[in-house]
Amino acid sequence: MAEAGTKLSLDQKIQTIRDGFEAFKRGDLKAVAELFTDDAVWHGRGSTKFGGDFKGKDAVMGNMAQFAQTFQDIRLDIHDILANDKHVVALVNSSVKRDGKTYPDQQTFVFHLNDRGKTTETWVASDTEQLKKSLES
Amino acid sequence: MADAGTKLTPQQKIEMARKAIEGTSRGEVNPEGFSGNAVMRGSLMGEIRGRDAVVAALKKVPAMFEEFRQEPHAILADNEHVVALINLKVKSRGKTVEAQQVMVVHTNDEGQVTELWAMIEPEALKQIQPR
Repeated sequence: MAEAGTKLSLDQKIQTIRDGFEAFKRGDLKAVAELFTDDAVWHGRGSTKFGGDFKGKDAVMGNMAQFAQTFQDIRLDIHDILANDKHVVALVNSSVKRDGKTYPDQQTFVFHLNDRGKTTETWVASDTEQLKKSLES
Repeated sequence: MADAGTKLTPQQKIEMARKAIEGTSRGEVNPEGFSGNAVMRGSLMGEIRGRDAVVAALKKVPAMFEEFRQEPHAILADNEHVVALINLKVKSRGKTVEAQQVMVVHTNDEGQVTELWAMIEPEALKQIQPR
């Protein structure tokens, strides 16, 4: 393993993101929070309450907690995770349930990680129109 | 470069993808870059099956707009996928729309595209009106 302060390998970055998804899936938001820098920014898309920029770890985690409270049976199946020096990209087959209806989607998460493996910035590409419909029901 | 029939490295796939994206913005598409049963699923054109149909559709895209520019922000690859993060600029009916596009490509060992999935953020897509 790389020492603190040293540059992580691509495999280590990929594992960090995989660990983050696993922590979210088991409801361990404290472990997820440890993966973000204090000044992390989360760029959500669309015009729902989950769209727009969430600046700072508290805002990022608040958005994530609200998402977890809004939907039931949140499934995030990692299809693949790729990395280069600047980005980690997770391809995720997802589904959420609300009011008995299931909404499947294919999402792409783009992460910027610093040399310590902490996420500084995240972008989410997903079907925001479907997300909007799910919240209107 | 890898010989024909050998497995391409991720870096080789990235270079191929970069050239393909540059070409597509000009309406230039190399049919040899696609397998015979290639499938494309895109925000702009729905699902298209078969090499000839996919190539024809990609060639047509730039002509649908007054300006169509795809600038790769980053291209990543592993053994299974090539992912391109693209800054898209489209001008149509006098209106310019800038959006982020994600392109996910499955390739075979020869680097040919077997499946291409291109997504533009839906709310930006609503503003893009082909002529």
